[in-house]
Amino acid sequence: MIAMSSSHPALQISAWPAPGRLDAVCLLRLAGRLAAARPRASAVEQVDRQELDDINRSLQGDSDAYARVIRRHQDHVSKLLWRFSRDPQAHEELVQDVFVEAYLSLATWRAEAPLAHWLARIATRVGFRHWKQAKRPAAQALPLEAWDRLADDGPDDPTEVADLVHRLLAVLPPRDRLVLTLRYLEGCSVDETADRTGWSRAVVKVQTWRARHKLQTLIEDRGLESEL
Amino acid sequence: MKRIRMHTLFAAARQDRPPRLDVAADVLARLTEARPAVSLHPYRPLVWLLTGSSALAACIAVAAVLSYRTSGDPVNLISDMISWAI
Repeated sequence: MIAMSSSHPALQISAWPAPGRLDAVCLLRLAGRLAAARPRASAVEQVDRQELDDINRSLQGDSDAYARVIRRHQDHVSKLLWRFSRDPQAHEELVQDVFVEAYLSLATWRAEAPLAHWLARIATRVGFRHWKQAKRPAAQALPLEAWDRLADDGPDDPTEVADLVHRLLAVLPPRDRLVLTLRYLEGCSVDETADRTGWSRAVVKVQTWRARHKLQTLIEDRGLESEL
Repeated sequence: MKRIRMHTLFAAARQDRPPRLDVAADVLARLTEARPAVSLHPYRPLVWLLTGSSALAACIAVAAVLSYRTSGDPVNLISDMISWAI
Protein backbone atom coordinates (compact mmCIF):
# COMPACT_ATOMS: atom_id res chain seq x y z
CA MET A 1 0.00 0.00 0.00
CA ILE A 2 1.36 3.38 -0.92
CA ALA A 3 1.16 6.09 1.73
CA MET A 4 -0.13 9.01 -0.29
CA SER A 5 0.07 11.83 2.20
CA SER A 6 1.83 12.54 5.43
CA SER A 7 2.50 15.61 7.51
CA HIS A 8 5.67 14.20 9.08
CA PRO A 9 8.77 14.18 6.84
CA ALA A 10 9.83 10.73 7.97
CA LEU A 11 6.43 9.34 7.07
CA GLN A 12 6.66 10.43 3.45
CA ILE A 13 7.51 6.98 2.29
CA SER A 14 6.84 5.98 -1.30
CA ALA A 15 6.12 2.33 -0.63
CA TRP A 16 5.67 1.41 2.96
CA PRO A 17 5.51 -2.30 3.70
CA ALA A 18 2.19 -3.78 4.66
CA PRO A 19 2.54 -6.53 7.27
CA GLY A 20 0.69 -8.87 4.93
CA ARG A 21 3.54 -8.53 2.44
CA LEU A 22 6.16 -9.35 5.00
CA ASP A 23 5.11 -12.94 5.34
CA ALA A 24 3.61 -15.21 2.71
CA VAL A 25 1.37 -16.95 5.23
CA CYS A 26 0.15 -13.58 6.50
CA LEU A 27 -0.67 -12.60 2.93
CA LEU A 28 -2.93 -15.60 2.53
CA ARG A 29 -4.59 -15.03 5.90
CA LEU A 30 -4.79 -11.26 5.78
CA ALA A 31 -8.45 -11.10 4.98
CA GLY A 32 -9.26 -13.41 7.87
CA ARG A 33 -7.02 -11.49 10.23
CA LEU A 34 -8.61 -8.20 9.30
CA ALA A 35 -11.99 -9.63 10.10
CA ALA A 36 -10.67 -11.04 13.37
CA ALA A 37 -9.16 -7.68 14.33
CA ARG A 38 -12.61 -6.10 14.20
CA PRO A 39 -14.24 -5.92 17.60
CA ARG A 40 -16.44 -8.61 19.03
CA ALA A 41 -19.42 -7.45 21.05
CA SER A 42 -17.61 -8.01 24.38
CA ALA A 43 -14.45 -6.27 23.25
CA VAL A 44 -16.09 -3.09 22.09
CA GLU A 45 -15.93 -1.52 25.54
CA GLN A 46 -12.27 -2.45 25.99
CA VAL A 47 -10.88 -1.44 22.62
CA ASP A 48 -11.25 2.08 21.37
CA ARG A 49 -12.88 2.33 17.94
CA GLN A 50 -10.33 4.88 16.75
CA GLU A 51 -7.59 2.47 17.74
CA LEU A 52 -9.21 -0.37 15.81
CA ASP A 53 -9.56 1.84 12.78
CA ASP A 54 -5.87 2.83 13.01
CA ILE A 55 -4.83 -0.80 13.38
CA ASN A 56 -6.88 -1.89 10.40
CA ARG A 57 -5.36 0.93 8.36
CA SER A 58 -1.88 -0.03 9.60
CA LEU A 59 -2.51 -3.60 8.46
CA GLN A 60 -3.24 -2.22 5.02
CA GLY A 61 0.10 -0.37 5.07
CA ASP A 62 -0.98 3.11 6.17
CA SER A 63 2.11 4.54 7.92
CA ASP A 64 0.23 7.56 9.31
CA ALA A 65 -2.17 5.22 11.10
CA TYR A 66 0.66 3.23 12.65
CA ALA A 67 2.40 6.46 13.70
CA ARG A 68 -0.81 7.37 15.57
CA VAL A 69 -0.81 3.94 17.27
CA ILE A 70 2.83 4.44 18.30
CA ARG A 71 2.23 7.96 19.66
CA ARG A 72 -0.79 6.72 21.62
CA HIS A 73 1.18 3.96 23.37
CA GLN A 74 4.81 5.06 23.42
CA ASP A 75 4.66 6.68 26.87
CA HIS A 76 3.26 3.50 28.39
CA VAL A 77 5.82 1.27 26.66
CA SER A 78 8.62 3.71 27.52
CA LYS A 79 7.64 3.60 31.20
CA LEU A 80 7.65 -0.21 31.19
CA LEU A 81 11.04 -0.41 29.52
CA TRP A 82 12.59 2.20 31.82
CA ARG A 83 12.66 -0.65 34.37
CA PHE A 84 14.74 -2.72 31.94
CA SER A 85 17.31 -0.16 30.87
CA ARG A 86 18.13 3.21 32.38
CA ASP A 87 20.56 4.12 29.63
CA PRO A 88 18.57 6.65 27.53
CA GLN A 89 19.97 5.44 24.21
CA ALA A 90 19.43 1.73 24.93
CA HIS A 91 16.01 2.53 26.33
CA GLU A 92 14.95 4.34 23.17
CA GLU A 93 16.18 1.45 21.03
CA LEU A 94 14.19 -1.01 23.15
CA VAL A 95 11.03 1.09 22.74
CA GLN A 96 11.61 1.10 19.00
CA ASP A 97 12.14 -2.68 19.03
CA VAL A 98 8.77 -3.15 20.71
CA PHE A 99 6.92 -1.19 18.03
CA VAL A 100 8.83 -2.89 15.21
CA GLU A 101 8.02 -6.34 16.64
CA ALA A 102 4.44 -5.26 17.27
CA TYR A 103 4.04 -4.18 13.66
CA LEU A 104 5.48 -7.41 12.31
CA SER A 105 2.96 -9.44 14.33
CA LEU A 106 0.12 -6.91 14.28
CA ALA A 107 -1.98 -9.26 12.16
CA THR A 108 -2.05 -11.74 15.07
CA TRP A 109 -3.60 -9.25 17.49
CA ARG A 110 -7.13 -10.44 18.15
CA ALA A 111 -8.75 -7.36 19.71
CA GLU A 112 -9.85 -9.49 22.68
CA ALA A 113 -7.87 -7.27 25.06
CA PRO A 114 -6.62 -3.70 24.83
CA LEU A 115 -3.60 -3.18 22.63
CA ALA A 116 -1.71 -1.80 25.65
CA HIS A 117 -1.78 -5.25 27.30
CA TRP A 118 -0.48 -6.91 24.15
CA LEU A 119 2.27 -4.27 23.86
CA ALA A 120 3.17 -4.80 27.52
CA ARG A 121 3.76 -8.49 26.81
CA ILE A 122 6.00 -7.63 23.85
CA ALA A 123 7.83 -5.01 25.94
CA THR A 124 8.46 -7.57 28.68
CA ARG A 125 9.84 -10.03 26.13
CA VAL A 126 12.07 -7.37 24.54
CA GLY A 127 13.32 -6.16 27.93
CA PHE A 128 14.00 -9.69 29.17
CA ARG A 129 15.93 -10.48 25.98
CA HIS A 130 17.99 -7.30 26.53
CA TRP A 131 18.92 -8.49 30.02
CA LYS A 132 19.85 -11.95 28.80
CA GLN A 133 22.12 -10.49 26.13
CA ALA A 134 23.77 -8.01 28.50
CA LYS A 135 26.68 -8.99 30.72
CA ARG A 136 25.53 -9.42 34.32
CA PRO A 137 27.61 -7.42 36.82
CA ALA A 138 29.12 -9.15 39.85
CA ALA A 139 27.69 -8.42 43.29
CA GLN A 140 30.88 -6.52 44.09
CA ALA A 141 30.10 -4.11 41.24
CA LEU A 142 27.72 -2.30 43.56
CA PRO A 143 29.99 -0.11 45.71
CA LEU A 144 29.65 0.00 49.48
CA GLU A 145 28.40 3.59 49.46
CA ALA A 146 25.53 2.48 47.21
CA TRP A 147 24.52 -0.08 49.83
CA ASP A 148 24.70 2.63 52.47
CA ARG A 149 22.48 4.85 50.35
CA LEU A 150 19.94 2.03 50.04
CA ALA A 151 19.73 1.52 53.80
CA ASP A 152 17.08 3.17 55.97
CA ASP A 153 14.49 3.99 53.26
CA GLY A 154 17.11 5.25 50.81
CA PRO A 155 17.43 8.72 49.29
CA ASP A 156 14.46 11.07 48.83
CA ASP A 157 14.88 11.46 45.08
CA PRO A 158 12.85 8.73 43.25
CA THR A 159 15.28 8.80 40.31
CA GLU A 160 18.22 8.08 42.60
CA VAL A 161 16.29 5.31 44.38
CA ALA A 162 15.24 3.78 41.04
CA ASP A 163 18.84 3.90 39.85
CA LEU A 164 20.12 2.15 42.98
CA VAL A 165 17.36 -0.48 42.88
CA HIS A 166 18.09 -1.07 39.18
CA ARG A 167 21.77 -1.63 39.95
CA LEU A 168 20.94 -3.91 42.87
CA LEU A 169 18.56 -6.09 40.82
CA ALA A 170 21.06 -6.19 37.93
CA VAL A 171 23.23 -8.47 40.05
CA LEU A 172 20.53 -11.18 40.01
CA PRO A 173 19.99 -13.66 37.13
CA PRO A 174 17.56 -12.34 34.48
CA ARG A 175 14.60 -14.56 35.52
CA ASP A 176 14.86 -13.48 39.17
CA ARG A 177 15.31 -9.89 38.13
CA LEU A 178 12.28 -10.08 35.86
CA VAL A 179 9.94 -11.51 38.44
CA LEU A 180 11.03 -9.01 41.12
CA THR A 181 10.74 -6.13 38.67
CA LEU A 182 7.24 -7.09 37.65
CA ARG A 183 5.92 -8.11 41.07
CA TYR A 184 7.44 -5.36 43.21
CA LEU A 185 8.66 -2.55 40.97
CA GLU A 186 5.70 -2.64 38.58
CA GLY A 187 3.31 -3.83 41.28
CA CYS A 188 1.84 -6.63 39.11
CA SER A 189 -0.23 -9.42 40.67
CA VAL A 190 0.66 -13.09 40.14
CA ASP A 191 -1.89 -13.31 37.30
CA GLU A 192 -0.59 -10.16 35.62
CA THR A 193 2.99 -11.38 35.94
CA ALA A 194 2.00 -14.74 34.43
CA ASP A 195 0.29 -12.93 31.57
CA ARG A 196 3.26 -10.64 30.93
CA THR A 197 5.88 -13.39 31.07
CA GLY A 198 3.94 -16.28 29.58
CA TRP A 199 4.79 -18.38 32.66
CA SER A 200 2.20 -20.35 34.63
CA ARG A 201 0.96 -18.98 37.98
CA ALA A 202 2.84 -21.74 39.83
CA VAL A 203 6.10 -20.85 38.07
CA VAL A 204 5.60 -17.18 38.92
CA LYS A 205 5.08 -18.01 42.61
CA VAL A 206 8.10 -20.31 42.81
CA GLN A 207 10.28 -17.88 40.86
CA THR A 208 9.21 -15.02 43.14
CA TRP A 209 10.08 -17.01 46.23
CA ARG A 210 13.50 -17.96 44.85
CA ALA A 211 14.26 -14.42 43.69
CA ARG A 212 13.29 -12.94 47.07
CA HIS A 213 15.51 -15.48 48.80
CA LYS A 214 18.45 -14.62 46.53
CA LEU A 215 17.95 -10.91 47.07
CA GLN A 216 17.80 -11.34 50.83
CA THR A 217 20.98 -13.44 50.78
CA LEU A 218 22.68 -10.79 48.65
CA ILE A 219 21.77 -8.05 51.11
CA GLU A 220 22.67 -10.09 54.19
CA ASP A 221 26.03 -11.03 52.68
CA ARG A 222 26.81 -7.30 52.78
CA GLY A 223 26.19 -7.27 56.52
CA LEU A 224 22.81 -5.55 56.17
CA GLU A 225 19.38 -6.58 57.34
CA SER A 226 16.72 -6.99 54.67
CA GLU A 227 12.99 -6.49 54.83
CA LEU A 228 11.06 -7.85 51.84
CA MET B 1 22.68 -3.04 61.95
CA LYS B 2 21.47 -1.07 58.96
CA ARG B 3 18.26 -2.27 57.37
CA ILE B 4 17.19 -2.24 53.72
CA ARG B 5 13.42 -1.97 53.34
CA MET B 6 12.88 -3.20 49.82
CA HIS B 7 9.15 -2.47 49.75
CA THR B 8 9.81 1.18 50.58
CA LEU B 9 12.56 1.36 47.98
CA PHE B 10 10.36 -0.29 45.31
CA ALA B 11 7.52 2.12 46.10
CA ALA B 12 9.85 5.12 45.79
CA ALA B 13 11.43 3.78 42.59
CA ARG B 14 7.96 3.35 41.07
CA GLN B 15 7.56 7.14 41.10
CA ASP B 16 10.50 7.57 38.74
CA ARG B 17 9.53 8.56 35.19
CA PRO B 18 11.48 7.97 31.95
CA PRO B 19 12.60 10.81 29.69
CA ARG B 20 9.98 11.77 27.10
CA LEU B 21 10.58 10.41 23.64
CA ASP B 22 8.93 10.15 20.24
CA VAL B 23 9.96 7.03 18.37
CA ALA B 24 7.30 7.02 15.63
CA ALA B 25 9.55 8.38 12.86
CA ASP B 26 12.44 6.06 13.76
CA VAL B 27 10.18 2.99 13.94
CA LEU B 28 8.67 3.74 10.53
CA ALA B 29 12.14 4.33 9.08
CA ARG B 30 13.33 0.99 10.47
CA LEU B 31 10.31 -0.81 9.04
CA THR B 32 10.92 0.74 5.64
CA GLU B 33 14.62 -0.20 5.71
CA ALA B 34 13.77 -3.76 6.74
CA ARG B 35 11.37 -4.21 3.86
CA PRO B 36 13.62 -5.66 1.10
CA ALA B 37 15.25 -8.21 3.39
CA VAL B 38 11.98 -9.19 5.02
CA SER B 39 9.87 -9.24 1.87
CA LEU B 40 12.25 -11.70 0.22
CA HIS B 41 12.09 -13.98 3.21
CA PRO B 42 8.91 -15.95 2.37
CA TYR B 43 10.15 -16.60 -1.17
CA ARG B 44 13.58 -17.84 -0.14
CA PRO B 45 12.63 -21.58 -0.19
CA LEU B 46 11.11 -21.09 -3.65
CA VAL B 47 14.31 -19.39 -4.85
CA TRP B 48 16.37 -22.34 -3.59
CA LEU B 49 13.96 -24.80 -5.24
CA LEU B 50 14.17 -22.89 -8.52
CA THR B 51 18.00 -22.81 -8.39
CA GLY B 52 18.22 -26.52 -7.53
CA SER B 53 15.80 -27.64 -10.23
CA SER B 54 17.54 -25.46 -12.84
CA ALA B 55 20.92 -26.97 -11.95
CA LEU B 56 19.44 -30.48 -12.12
CA ALA B 57 17.81 -29.77 -15.49
CA ALA B 58 21.13 -28.48 -16.88
CA CYS B 59 22.94 -31.65 -15.71
CA ILE B 60 20.26 -33.88 -17.28
CA ALA B 61 20.49 -31.95 -20.57
CA VAL B 62 24.30 -32.33 -20.71
CA ALA B 63 24.03 -36.05 -19.88
CA ALA B 64 21.37 -36.53 -22.58
CA VAL B 65 23.51 -34.84 -25.25
CA LEU B 66 26.58 -36.89 -24.28
CA SER B 67 24.54 -40.08 -24.19
CA TYR B 68 23.02 -39.32 -27.59
CA ARG B 69 26.43 -38.67 -29.07
CA THR B 70 27.97 -41.89 -27.72
CA SER B 71 25.05 -44.19 -28.37
CA GLY B 72 23.47 -42.46 -31.38
CA ASP B 73 26.53 -42.14 -33.64
CA PRO B 74 26.95 -45.93 -34.49
CA VAL B 75 23.27 -46.10 -35.31
CA ASN B 76 23.64 -43.14 -37.63
CA LEU B 77 26.69 -44.80 -39.22
CA ILE B 78 24.78 -48.05 -39.84
CA SER B 79 21.77 -46.21 -41.24
CA ASP B 80 24.07 -44.19 -43.55
CA MET B 81 25.75 -47.39 -44.74
CA ILE B 82 22.36 -49.02 -45.41
CA SER B 83 21.18 -45.97 -47.33
CA TRP B 84 24.38 -46.04 -49.46
CA ALA B 85 24.00 -49.79 -50.06
CA ILE B 86 20.41 -49.36 -51.16
